[in-house]
Amino acid sequence: MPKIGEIKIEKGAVVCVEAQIEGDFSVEIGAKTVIHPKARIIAERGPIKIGTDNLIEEYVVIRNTRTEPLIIGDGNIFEIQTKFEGIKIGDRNIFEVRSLITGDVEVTTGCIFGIGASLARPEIVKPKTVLTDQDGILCRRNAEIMPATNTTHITFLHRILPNYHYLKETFENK
Amino acid sequence: MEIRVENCDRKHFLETTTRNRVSKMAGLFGSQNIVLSGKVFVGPTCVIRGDLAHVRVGKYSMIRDGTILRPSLKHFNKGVAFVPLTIGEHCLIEENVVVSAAQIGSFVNIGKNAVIGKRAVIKECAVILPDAVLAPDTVVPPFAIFGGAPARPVGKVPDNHQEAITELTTTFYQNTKVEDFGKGK
Repeated sequence: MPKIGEIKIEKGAVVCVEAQIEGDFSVEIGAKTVIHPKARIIAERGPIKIGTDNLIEEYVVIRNTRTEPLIIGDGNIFEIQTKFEGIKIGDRNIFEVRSLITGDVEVTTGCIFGIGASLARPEIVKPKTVLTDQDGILCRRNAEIMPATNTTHITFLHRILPNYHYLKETFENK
Repeated sequence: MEIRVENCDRKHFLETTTRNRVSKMAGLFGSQNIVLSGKVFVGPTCVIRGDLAHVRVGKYSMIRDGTILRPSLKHFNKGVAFVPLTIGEHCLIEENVVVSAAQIGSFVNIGKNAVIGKRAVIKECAVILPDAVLAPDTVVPPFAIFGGAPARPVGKVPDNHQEAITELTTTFYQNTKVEDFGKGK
């Protein structure tokens, strides 16, 4: 683990300088992760570890409000204005525009949070759950298959984002 | 439809040669791909993602505070591409709207906190109610009113919609006072 307050961005990650990474604790960002401008990652009371192939869009807030490290797996998509203050995220989940997870929520694998879906109570979300907000009512169902991978999307962003943005310095693995 | 005019008596705006009024707090990325056709208002904390694809905004379109204009991704057989985002003339896009549409026609009104899904097409004179969530790939026909989450047709716009929204956007633009016009002091 890096030292307290250190930001470690692995080689190959695309993190725009306009993205805010703040807080007193360490933040680790895995390879190939794309962080768009205006996203905020706040290690407020504990460290945050983000895996590989994640996509974090504008005005996303990922905040660790607990003292244990917040671990985010691989291949997750956080769309615009998502707010996550939960415990843990597994792999290949999709958080659509304005989903709001504030309680002590643990997200497992392949879950989809629809536009405006909010979870405020402690919960472990089972794999492949789909949560949607329909006129203010939270609907749940189970998907048969995992959501599609985002590799093509990420590869494309890796190609175009460095043309328009300054990137944060990455950490070379020696 | 009730039309509300607020007096945006603010400083900290820039005015371009084509009389676009852009807030200095707005984030315009990839500015070489953003076309503001003239007399466009861009409010504070807006984000326009020109770095992903071309964004074109027509005359007298008002983009209010906190709105995000973001071209959407489309998957093809061979790889992926971002779809350019075109917005017509005299559009009023209210606060905190997320627009990932492909095309928005002229005289369109989009209410507060609405989310326009990926690659959606909104035709001329349509109205999207506040808090509506328009599903991806939706096509909103001309003169329709869409509302709810997910959005569905709830009615037809009144006959004078075009005149009303033209007057509204024009008044809105004139009410935004820009103290520093950027002309030689």
